Amino acid sequence: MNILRLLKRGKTAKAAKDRLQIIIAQERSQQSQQTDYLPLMRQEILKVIAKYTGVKLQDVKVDLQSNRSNSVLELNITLPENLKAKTPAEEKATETEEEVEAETA
Amino acid sequence: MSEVIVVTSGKGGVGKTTTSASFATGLAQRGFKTAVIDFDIGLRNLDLVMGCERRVVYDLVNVIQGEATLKQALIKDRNNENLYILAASQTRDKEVLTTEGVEKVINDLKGLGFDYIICDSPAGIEKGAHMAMYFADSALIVTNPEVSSVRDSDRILGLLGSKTYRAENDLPSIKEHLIITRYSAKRVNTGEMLSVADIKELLGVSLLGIIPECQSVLSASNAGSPVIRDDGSLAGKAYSRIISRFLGEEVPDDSAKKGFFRRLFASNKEKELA
Repeated sequence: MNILRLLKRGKTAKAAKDRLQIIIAQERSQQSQQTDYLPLMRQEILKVIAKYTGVKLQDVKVDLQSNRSNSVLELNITLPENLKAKTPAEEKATETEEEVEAETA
Repeated sequence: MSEVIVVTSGKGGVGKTTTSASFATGLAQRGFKTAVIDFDIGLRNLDLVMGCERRVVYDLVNVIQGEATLKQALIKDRNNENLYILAASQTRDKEVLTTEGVEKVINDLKGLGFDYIICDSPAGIEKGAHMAMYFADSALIVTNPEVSSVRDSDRILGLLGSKTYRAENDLPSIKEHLIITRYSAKRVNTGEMLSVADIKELLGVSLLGIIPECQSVLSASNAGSPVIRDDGSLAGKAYSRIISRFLGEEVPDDSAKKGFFRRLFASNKEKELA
């Protein structure tokens, strides 16, 4: 009975460690100085994109993921409906996404 | 030379005040003139754990606001002439703490010849916690082997490295020491609890010591006597080892395995290690 209960409970410490590894890495990258320039950069990128397409602020998602050797800057831009309508192939899609990945040291 | 040490954790209830009380008492027992300050304005408890709650006349806020002198507010410990307590205000708002006010108190304590100034931080990352860590030279990060505590400790480590006097003035960074409390080796062995190695790896801070889950911690705070004075208890011994390590002495590992016979004949007190 006791052994059954023990087995049922399982090794939850492993789950705790895995979850913490992810959340801590995420929060550290959010806290780091690198994020200081993100809001401003987002604004400036938006200005350029808006100039040509008319994308709204909430349609641009900026993510920065860092590990020891490199950082990945991910820009996720949802282009507006009226742009899609121009090409028949894209008409069925609900949204078009464009990913720009840049590697920084 | 005085050293300012903040005892912090982010999360509440992990053992900051217990650690502050025992750490300050341990340093005083080794002959160092030590002051311990409660920064938990509005929810003071260090006085209770230290057993001097009925002798608080003036507090930290009175000193900062010029209503009392530092000497009037410092409470001398009954058992150790090297140990002094500066209580927090129970009635005021924590916003009354100012950087200038806290700086003056700490500098005045240094002027009075204190070797160590221990700042017992409140939980959270608000004003009180910020002020407790701001002038620190070293930090004791108190962590339970539990997800929310580890996450909060990591957050605090981020603040120690960015929102303190040392960080803001490009001085050598605060020395960080990890103290793991309420640890149960048995539950780690069955895979139910984060291990010391896990926590060290997650936080990347050097370990100062492990305090096992131990009934004597509650008994000590019930009695208003820091658990380090209970030198027969597991927690008391663990805090003594922490003091030794902090002072640079070689001390055996807290998690060192007991021999077969010692385990076989382990006393009841040692079996408290739930």
